[in-house]
Amino acid sequence: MRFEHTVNRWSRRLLGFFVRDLPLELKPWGEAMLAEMPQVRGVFAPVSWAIGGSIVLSKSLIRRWFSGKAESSTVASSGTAGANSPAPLPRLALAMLLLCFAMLLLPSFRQGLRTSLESWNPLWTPHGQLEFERLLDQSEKLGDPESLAFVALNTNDPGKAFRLAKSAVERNPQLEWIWYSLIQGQFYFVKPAIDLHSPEVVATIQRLQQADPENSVPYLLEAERIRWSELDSPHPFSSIQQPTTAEERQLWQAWRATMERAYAAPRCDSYFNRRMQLERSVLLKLKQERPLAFLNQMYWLAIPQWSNNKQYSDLLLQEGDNALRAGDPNKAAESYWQVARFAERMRAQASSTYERWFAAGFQRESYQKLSALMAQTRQDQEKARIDQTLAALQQEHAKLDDPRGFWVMIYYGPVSTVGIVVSVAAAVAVLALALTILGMGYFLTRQWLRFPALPLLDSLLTKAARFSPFALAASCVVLYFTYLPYASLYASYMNGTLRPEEGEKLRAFMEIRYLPDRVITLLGGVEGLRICFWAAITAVLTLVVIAFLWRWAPRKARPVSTS
Amino acid sequence: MPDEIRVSPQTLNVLVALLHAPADWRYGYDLSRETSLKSGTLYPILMRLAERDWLETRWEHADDTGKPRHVYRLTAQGRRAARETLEANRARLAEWNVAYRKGAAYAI
Repeated sequence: MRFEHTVNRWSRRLLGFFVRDLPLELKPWGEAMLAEMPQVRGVFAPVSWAIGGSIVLSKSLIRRWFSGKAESSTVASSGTAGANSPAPLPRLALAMLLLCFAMLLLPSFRQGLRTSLESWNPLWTPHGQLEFERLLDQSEKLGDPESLAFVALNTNDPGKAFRLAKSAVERNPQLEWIWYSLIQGQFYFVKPAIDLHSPEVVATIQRLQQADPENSVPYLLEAERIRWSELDSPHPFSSIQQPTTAEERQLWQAWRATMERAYAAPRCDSYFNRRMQLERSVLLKLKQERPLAFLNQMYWLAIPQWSNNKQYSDLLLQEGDNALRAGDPNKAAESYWQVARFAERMRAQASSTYERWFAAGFQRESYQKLSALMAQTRQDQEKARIDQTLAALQQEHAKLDDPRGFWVMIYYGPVSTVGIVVSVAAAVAVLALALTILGMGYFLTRQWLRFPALPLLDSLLTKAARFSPFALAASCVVLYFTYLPYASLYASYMNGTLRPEEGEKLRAFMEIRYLPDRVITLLGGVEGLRICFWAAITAVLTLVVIAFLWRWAPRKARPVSTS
Repeated sequence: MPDEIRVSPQTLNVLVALLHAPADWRYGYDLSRETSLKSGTLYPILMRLAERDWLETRWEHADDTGKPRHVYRLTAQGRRAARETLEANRARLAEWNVAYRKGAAYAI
């Protein structure tokens, strides 16, 4: 009996908690249910009565909130109704929220949202790294050569990478090229994670040269290794051009001999296409969808070795100029043509736009020298042919006419305007969602936690809750329709049906992954801005919305003086 | 207020209970026991009926505890409408009572 009494008392408290702050038009019904509680006997019946009543009241409250019935005269006529009853949301706001939830059913929308949010900063997606680790574990467990190569190329552990790469190549010698990607990747860092002096690395590059002797790229890799391994500096080449010590002279000779072999090789394959094919096939095998990571690879791997080539081509062009000044036009032409022929091969066999641009830059510089030389030596026919190619180069690569020069392109990549729209839409969607949750959460908790009404806060958050769903829906729709072409391109790429010219559009989206370089430069070159750019955009948008709501928030009426 | 009401079997049962002694005021818990409906089902029905002016409500002090309780009865309009509704849904109510209430059907 005493137990039943206790149960009844706690059940009443539960129901009383919901009844306490109900708006006036619902309160009598809540109190009616509460008034019946002393009559409800037994152990389970009071609990059932209280829970049922609480659910009814909560549902009525939420329904009323969205339906706008609180604005009826019954409530408005009550003196305290305004303080207790938040303004209702229009039905359309509910419809907008439902639309947003429905959009989550669209795979392209989910992909666009995830890709945009990930692009702000990988650090903001704490599960990203864990998912990536799981993906790598999954690949390793598959144990096939391609999966092992995939793990080797994507892990951050150099020891593991070398072990797995060795295993992959042993199982499938056709994968020998992965050594290039593995070692070349180290040159993106100021301080490589592996010891480029080690006999293992030297032997690996030699094996790569033997496996693909007609390709200039393994020789370029070795030349890069010589520069980096012997001169422990981010800018080692400043000193190698003018060797002063015997050791430096020896290095310089080794480097030059390697570059000569690279420039003489008949092919120039950076293995970019093979790498992307490998990534694609393994991701498909694992049923993984990682557009951003994939696009990231497309971006970084598309950038060929530049400084090494630039150094050597400058050296050859300089030697040509020297020969010309010394009255030896044949030797000058030979030096110029070495650069020109290599650039022609590189351009013809380029796997990416960046490669084509780089090659076009080398070709243009050497062709300009050759054109001047042909004019000087009166080889008009040859000059006309060279000038014609130069004109075609200019037309094909209009960016080469940028006053800041060819090298600007390395640092000032093109930015996709549509890609920016996608990212801003995602930022607005997140902001609107946050405001919606904040506004709705405030009123729901205020109903039940009984804290004093704050008119200004009420007004601001009511507006936030009423209008944010519209902003959320609008941004979701914009995000969906602007990302849709990228989703389609990505799907085509994964299916192997993407046309080469479409690949550029896909790559352009990735380039807004961080703050564009152009903006970084304008802001004084502060690298840290890359990480917080989209966060800053969201913060600014938040302030704008708050200012907007503040401006339109109804002010408390001032008392009118009757004196 | 619109006169139309969602005619669920539960609503029909509540109307039947209210029509047993239409002039009497009824407590919510008594209606709950009579119709075997939980509070979560009964009160939304009562609220809808009251919204449509089929039901009148008031507070009265109970004899035993002296505490106020909410009581309900059909309005004149509600009685007419309830009878029409029950007449139109007689077969449905009987079917539902047989299926879900194991034959404990109300006589209309």
